Amino acid sequence: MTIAFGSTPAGAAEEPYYKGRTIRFIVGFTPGGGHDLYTRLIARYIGKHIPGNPSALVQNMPGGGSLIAANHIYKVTKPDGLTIGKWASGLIRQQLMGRKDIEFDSRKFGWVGAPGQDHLVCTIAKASGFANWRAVMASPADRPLIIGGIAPGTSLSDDPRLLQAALGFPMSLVEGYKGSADVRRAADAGEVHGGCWGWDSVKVTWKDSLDAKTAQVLVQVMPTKHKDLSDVPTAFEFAKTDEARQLLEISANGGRLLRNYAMSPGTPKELLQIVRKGFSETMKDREFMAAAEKAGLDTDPLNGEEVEKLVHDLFKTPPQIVERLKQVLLPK
Amino acid sequence: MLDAAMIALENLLVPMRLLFLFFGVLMGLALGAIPGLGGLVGLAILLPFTFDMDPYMAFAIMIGLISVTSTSDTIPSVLFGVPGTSAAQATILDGHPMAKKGEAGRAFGAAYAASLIGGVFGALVLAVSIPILRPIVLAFGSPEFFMMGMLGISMVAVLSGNAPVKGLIAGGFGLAIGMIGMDPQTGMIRWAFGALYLWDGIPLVPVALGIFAIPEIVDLVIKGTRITDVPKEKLKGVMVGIQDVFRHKFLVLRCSLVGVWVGFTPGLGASVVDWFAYGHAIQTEKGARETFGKGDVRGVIAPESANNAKEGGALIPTIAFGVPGSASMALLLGAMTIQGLAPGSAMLTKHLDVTYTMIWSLALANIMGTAICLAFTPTLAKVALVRIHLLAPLVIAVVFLASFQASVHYGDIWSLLFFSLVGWFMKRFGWPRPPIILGLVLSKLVENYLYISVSRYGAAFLLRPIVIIIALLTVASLFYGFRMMGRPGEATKTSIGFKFNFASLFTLLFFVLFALGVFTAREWQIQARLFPWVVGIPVLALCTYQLVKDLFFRQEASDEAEALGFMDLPVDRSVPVSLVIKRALNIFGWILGLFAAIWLIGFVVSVPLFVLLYLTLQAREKAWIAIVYTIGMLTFIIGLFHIILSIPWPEGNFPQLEQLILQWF
Repeated sequence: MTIAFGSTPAGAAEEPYYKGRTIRFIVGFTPGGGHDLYTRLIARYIGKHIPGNPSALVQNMPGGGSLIAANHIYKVTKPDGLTIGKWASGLIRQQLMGRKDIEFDSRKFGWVGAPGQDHLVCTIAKASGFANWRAVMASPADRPLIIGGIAPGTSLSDDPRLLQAALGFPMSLVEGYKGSADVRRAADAGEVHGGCWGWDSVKVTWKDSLDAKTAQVLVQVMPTKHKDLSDVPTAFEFAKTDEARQLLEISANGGRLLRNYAMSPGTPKELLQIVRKGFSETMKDREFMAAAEKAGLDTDPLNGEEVEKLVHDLFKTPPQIVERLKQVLLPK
Repeated sequence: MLDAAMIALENLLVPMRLLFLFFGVLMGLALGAIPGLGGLVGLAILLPFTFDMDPYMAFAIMIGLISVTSTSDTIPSVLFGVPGTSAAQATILDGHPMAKKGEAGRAFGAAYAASLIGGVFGALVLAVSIPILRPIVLAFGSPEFFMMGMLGISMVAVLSGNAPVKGLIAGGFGLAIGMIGMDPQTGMIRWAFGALYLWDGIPLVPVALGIFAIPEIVDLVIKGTRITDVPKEKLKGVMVGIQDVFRHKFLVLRCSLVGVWVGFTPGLGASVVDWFAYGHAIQTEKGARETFGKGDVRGVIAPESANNAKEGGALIPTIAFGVPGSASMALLLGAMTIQGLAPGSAMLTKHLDVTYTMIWSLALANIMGTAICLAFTPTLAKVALVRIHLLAPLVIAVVFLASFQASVHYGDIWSLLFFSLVGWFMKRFGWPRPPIILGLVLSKLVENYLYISVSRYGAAFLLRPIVIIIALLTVASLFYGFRMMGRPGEATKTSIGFKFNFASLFTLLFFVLFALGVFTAREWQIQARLFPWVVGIPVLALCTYQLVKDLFFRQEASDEAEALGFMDLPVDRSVPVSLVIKRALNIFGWILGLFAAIWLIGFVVSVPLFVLLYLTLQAREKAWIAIVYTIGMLTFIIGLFHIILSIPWPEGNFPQLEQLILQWF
């Protein structure tokens, strides 16, 4: 039998709701990026873990830094539990800062979960001359740390800004690069000193230089150290004030949420639970884990409830910190 | 190294892997031949299937696919003047006139042979440069990329041909369109007027299809016959084209080199590689000024050898550094990651066999692709003999569907419509269109890399050796371009006195657009405003000059003199103006109708309905033809776009009908 949208799947003896249906993943970016890749990997295995074994496919809806896709999931998609969206988690932070073309309330999405958490680090080429993070903190204003960024609103630009606002070291942010690969190339070529993004990606793509010790992770922007990076300090160790810690926490929060997935608000609880469970089980799927490991992706998943809590926590940020965020991150 | 190459060849020459390579080639050829679709969509579909394959197989099928899209993209370029992918835009300038002259077969022969040589050349360059890949990549930084962009922009001069002022305005227009969206330095959103669609800038596909494809179809419909009037027996064949390639072997090699280089430069790649090669050919080939744009086979050979060679170049930064220069390369990089192959030095040592498998796949795919295309050429060349009224609805429908693939947003359709009108008027009023594409593609690239270069090195970035070399090439290119500009068509007569006509109205439109652009930018921060003003203010002056010239000093020249040195498709003046206006209104009416229908009732219903109505009401074809054709169109949309590509259709305002049809399938 089929069930009308919005009603609940009836008794267990009935055919499962998802049987013969297709789950669509909508990715707010062009094919080929990290989000797209992760999603295609998940789409391959998730059907196995949802009763009725639905098929799954991935669609790309790029534009507006993925805001088009986010607004689409919120406003247009039917709450029928068949569409799962992936967009930049930075948009949640921008809602907090009151960006005006955001048409959603992040607190109302049906959060599905995140396959991994991004462990934000800043990595630099050795040629920059900074031996460690202490050297950066002690550097005079005319010898700043030169960081490559993309544009305001992207994590590659915003996270260094937050780090700088929290710890107050000399920094020059050069924006206009196309992505982390472009920044990495620029760092290897001596154009910038380095950049800040997830360890997941750094350890795979920057392996050559890390192995050759021509590049090093300088600092990690997480309250706890990553198991691979026990000798790298965390930025939190250098935070002197409460405000600094809160700004860093917001940055870290963005990293944790980076890979999350969501369904449209009003998705029936039962369906959301089914998908959340399927998602969590996919993360434990041996084949999925093997594939992710081969690809060097950290699987340190968050379930839907945990993501939901992180999102709600973000909206509990005190108003004076929100003001400070706006001051640091919004284009002047 | 040679050992690794041989081992890789052995690895690839396993029936199953060859079969996958062949399958990839078939997919690539199909995607290349359908306008607007290219390697990227194919790779995105293939990616999940490669998870279970061994690396040789995975790269055989993926490289097979991307290597040949620029072989088959020639087909619609030559036949309809509709670029098959963005790498085959320049091909239409001479390829399409060749089809009109009854030389479609020759154009195909030349294009395929050039593609083959270019593709294999690209593979070869990649193979021999393996030991020095990493130093090469590191030698090119933001200053060098900026200069490459400038070299590209300098091509505007040569592509402006005998209409320098109009060409420069068109180039400025392209640059301005390229500036729409977020400025990375300030986070300021330029000229988006609140439309989220414009935030990431206008995508290339609807612009290219708008300015080239729709105007061409409109003009073919206005003429109302077939693509060529040359009788079947007199059609020039494939062999002639292949011989042409061998006669111009040095052009092929030079353009292949251009292709590798442009492919290597991130941000350039497919969208401009053909224009680089075409511009280079005009600058270096004897008599090009007189014959290019009118069906000179060299104008086909140049872009076609370059666009296949680019993959070899594009793989260099991808393999050696994991820096993808394009979205297709990013997907390939994704496949590498999934295979557990970290890009970088390991690919040049430990996994050298995989790298060589890629190179062999690239070479073999090009051979397969060319062979398959050649086999179909005699049949395809005859499409030029089909009545245009049968072809027009198909091409228009495909162009609409294709444009929509750019960002799956109605904005794509708006862009298509706007640029169709701009493109058609430009063609009619003698404005060269290629500079728009160069401007659009290079705008952000040049601005960003200039900003990075200056903020990092100051003016000293100009003293880097490679920057100096590319700068000298740019100066030479500009010098040649301006020298060519300086020669006006002969036998021109200037009549003085005020006269207002449509041509001056069109110039006025550009003037107004630029005036508004410059005016609205006045409140922006200096970093966001600088580039728009540096381009906008001089172009505004040029618009004023052109306007005065249009209104008071009209130059009248014979058609031949006007066409001489004009670097764009010539306009057919055989149809009287009054009839042109009538027929143009008619066909643009149909196009607007399709646009409105898509908005109201969605794609899936509108497109077949459009085909049905056009064939019965406009073309007055027999009922059975119209019905079979319409069913074919519906199957095509559902099969390719709905099932295979799984496009998220936007709902029309009355979605029920569409849902009904989709559910039925």
